[in-house]
Amino acid sequence: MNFWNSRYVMLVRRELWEHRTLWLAPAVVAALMVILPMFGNFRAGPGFQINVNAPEVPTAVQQYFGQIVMVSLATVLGVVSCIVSVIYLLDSLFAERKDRSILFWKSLPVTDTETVLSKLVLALVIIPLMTLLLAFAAYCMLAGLLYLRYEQLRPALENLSLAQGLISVGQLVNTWLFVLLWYAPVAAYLMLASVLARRAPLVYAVLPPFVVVMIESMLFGTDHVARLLRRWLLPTSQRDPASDFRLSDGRIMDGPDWANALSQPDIWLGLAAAVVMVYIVIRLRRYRDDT
Amino acid sequence: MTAIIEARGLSKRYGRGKQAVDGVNFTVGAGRIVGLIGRNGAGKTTVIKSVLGLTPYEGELSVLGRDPTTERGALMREVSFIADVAVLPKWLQVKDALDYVQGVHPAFNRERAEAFLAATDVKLKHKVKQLSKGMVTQLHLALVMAIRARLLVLDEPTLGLDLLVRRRFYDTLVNDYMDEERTILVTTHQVEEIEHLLTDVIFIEQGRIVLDTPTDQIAGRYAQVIVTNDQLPAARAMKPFSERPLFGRTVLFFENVPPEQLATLGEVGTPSIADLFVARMQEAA
Repeated sequence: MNFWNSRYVMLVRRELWEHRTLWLAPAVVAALMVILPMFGNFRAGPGFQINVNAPEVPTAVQQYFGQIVMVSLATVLGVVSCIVSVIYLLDSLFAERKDRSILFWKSLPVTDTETVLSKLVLALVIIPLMTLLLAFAAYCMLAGLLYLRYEQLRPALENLSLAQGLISVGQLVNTWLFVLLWYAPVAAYLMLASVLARRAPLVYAVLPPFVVVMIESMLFGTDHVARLLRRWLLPTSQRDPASDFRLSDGRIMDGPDWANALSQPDIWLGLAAAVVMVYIVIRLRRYRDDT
Repeated sequence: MTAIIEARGLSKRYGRGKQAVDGVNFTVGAGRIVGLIGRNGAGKTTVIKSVLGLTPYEGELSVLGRDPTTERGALMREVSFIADVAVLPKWLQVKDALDYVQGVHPAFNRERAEAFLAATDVKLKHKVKQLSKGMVTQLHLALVMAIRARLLVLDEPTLGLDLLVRRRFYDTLVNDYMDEERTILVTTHQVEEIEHLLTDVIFIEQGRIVLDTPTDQIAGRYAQVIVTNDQLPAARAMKPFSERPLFGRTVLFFENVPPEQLATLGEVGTPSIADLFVARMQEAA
């Protein structure tokens, strides 16, 4: 039995058969981002050349053009993957009950722990890494195709190098690790909504925090929960905006502030909450009579 | 006889509603083919779901020596089941279904599943949503029959299939699947079709077992006699537990009455399981 047919790979492949948008949506967007620039028209006139190395272009843009392109591609694809992953997680333990296929899955020797964890790992690890790989592939193809297609762009494209792309890949992996730890409780929460929902898992996910925020504001006139949620969901909004995208050590992107993040209780509390929620999800799928 | 399933005081109540299963005791031995027979809502499916660890229950239950609630993961390596037909998801491709079961089930024999499918209209490239309900059931049966499980549990496995396919399924089940190391627990509405292959029957009504017997003991215990109307009072005097009219005559069912006593009344025979079931239900009503 080869790797692709091995037990745990099979569990993940099963998810990708059911939720084809997980890989289709980022793949289509990546293809568009590579193909669409090929239809541009830079023949403005004889002797026209675009040169990002020209003096009037800021030095940073010249130097880090490759990183800018790579990070932009990864950001667009990351947003797409993020959206499809949220949809996936909400559906992950709901669809099998809706179509009653849970009776088939439960007839096979796959434990509920394995099932739940395979779904979580897919959303938090495999999809992000696949997206990053896709972004890098798109970067390489874009650089190559632009070079072939537009003769007048060639001087500018020298900065679209493999090395520049790889610097960003390293940075993005670092960022993903932070995102993984920070958003693990969000993913677990979405799965909890999915396993609890009788219909419309999105409503099950959104309504409780919304109601709590409303009640708090009506009873006490405060917004602690809303602020907590905002800080949890959009952690960068707490940062000094000036620190974003500053240049440090030849990289255009600031990595996560690991020392600070790991010394603060936030990330640990979040992970503890994630573990508790995943445990509840597994118990519910195991012991509740869904049929 | 090793006990494959052992139930003692098995009970289940849904919420505050009715008692679906009410203190049931039964034993299923190795190598038996047991028919669990009852009307809709009699508790068959609840018993089966308890055995498979799909629902919480009260009482004691041991399946292959394991507790189906706490040891479900280990149990599913040795038990396979169809708890309902047509539950394969629409997006699943036939080839992928085979790949998946092969990947996660150590006792799955892919050649066997493909051989079963080859005789049907189900093709490897089909998706479940392209298949008719009967074909989905055939796919499901192919997958389950290719698993060498010690216990096979089938809840209405042939629902929605036509007669030819049903016949072929049961023939395959008995000839290719069954051996002395395997045990089958099956429920069905079409008792007549499987009564010749059952080794035991359990009748369940309103959550209680009303009959639990090996089929080869039915003849020694139960008898039916077909009498004309002039013999009817004499026959009734012998305390039949049930009767039904038959083309101007009457069939009466007796338990533990010697056949030679009945022979004077009319045509004596052994009731079929279906007749016995109907008779038992009429008696209970």
